[in-house]
Amino acid sequence: MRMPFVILSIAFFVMTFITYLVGGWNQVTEGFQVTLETIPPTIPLIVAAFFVIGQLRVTIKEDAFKKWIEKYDGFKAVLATALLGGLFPGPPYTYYPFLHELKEKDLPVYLYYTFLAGKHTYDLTRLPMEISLISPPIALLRNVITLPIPLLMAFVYKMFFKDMTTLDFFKKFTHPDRRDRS
Amino acid sequence: MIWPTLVFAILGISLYVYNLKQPGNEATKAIAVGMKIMVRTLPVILVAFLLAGMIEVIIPRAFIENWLSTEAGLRGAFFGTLGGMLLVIGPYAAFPIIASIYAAGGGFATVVTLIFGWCALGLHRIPFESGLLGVRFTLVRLSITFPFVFMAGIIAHAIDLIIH
Repeated sequence: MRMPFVILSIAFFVMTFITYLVGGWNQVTEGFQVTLETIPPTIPLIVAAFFVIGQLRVTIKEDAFKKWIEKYDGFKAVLATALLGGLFPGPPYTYYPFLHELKEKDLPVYLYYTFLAGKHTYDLTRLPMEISLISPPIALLRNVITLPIPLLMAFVYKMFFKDMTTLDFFKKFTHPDRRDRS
Repeated sequence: MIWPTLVFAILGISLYVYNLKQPGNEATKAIAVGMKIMVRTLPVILVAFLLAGMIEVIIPRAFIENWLSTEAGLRGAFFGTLGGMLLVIGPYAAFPIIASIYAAGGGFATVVTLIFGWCALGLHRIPFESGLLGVRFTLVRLSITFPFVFMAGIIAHAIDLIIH
C-alpha cells in the first residue's frame, strides 16, 4: 500500500497546486469542503465493508476452487468458472499465482480466461467498496449491465482457442527460458 | 448510505456466524484480517477522498460536458474505457475518483466504463499477469476485453438516454 499512497499523495499535491493556480485559496477550500462532506457518511459503510471483506477472505478457500474447476464441462463449466472467479478472494498477487499453479492441470484455455473475466467483473470482495465509495444505484446498474459479459467473452475465447489446453497454449506461446522456470 | 450499511452489517454477521461454526477460531481470525486490511488501506482511502474533492472542483465544466457527460455520447464511453485502464491504483483510491467525476457531471456511460475499464483492463495488474502468464496471454486478454468494456458503455448510454 506504500506505493499507491505515495502516487496518490503526489497526485493530490499536484492537483491542489493546479486548483490554487486556477481558482486561488477559495477553490482549494471548496475542494477540502467536498472531501469533508463526503467522508463522515461513508465511515460506517467502510467499516462494515471491511468486516465483510475479512469474513469472505476466511470463508472462501483455494482448495475448493481447484476441485470445482475440474468438475464441470460445457456451458456449466463456463458459468461455474466465471462465478468462481468472482468468488475468488484477494488482489492480483493472490489469483495470478493461483492461475499460474493451474497451468499444469491441462485445463481448456477459454476457461482459464473466463476465470479472469469472472474475477474482474463479479469480484465479490470488491463489491462492498464499489457500493460504499461510488453509490448503490450506480454499482447495481453497472453489475447488471456487465453480468452476461464474462459468459459472452467465454464464447469468443472458445471460438479463438477451441479445445486448446493450458499446457498446449503455454508450450506454444511461452519463451523456452520462461517455460523452464515455470 | 443507511441501507447498504445495514445490508453489509447483516451479511457480515451472517458470515461471522458461519465462520464461528468452523474449526480453528475462523470468525475471530476474519475480524482481525478485515481490520488489518482496513488499517492498511485507510491512509490510501483518505488521500483518495482528498484528491477526489480537488478533482470535483477543478475539472472544467466544459470538459465534462464535451467529453464525459451524457451529451458527450459514445465519446464518454470511449474515454471512460481508456481512463479506467489508466487508473493504476486500487479500488479504495479509484472508486472515490470515479465518484467525483460522476458528481462533477460525468455521464452514466463514462462512469460505467471507468469502473469496468478499471476492473477488466486496469494496467496495474499487467506486471503480475504478464510476469506469471506471459505477455502474449495478457495481450490476447486485453484485446478481447477492450471491445466488451466499450460495449458496456454503449448499453449504459442507451439506458441513460431512456431514463432521461
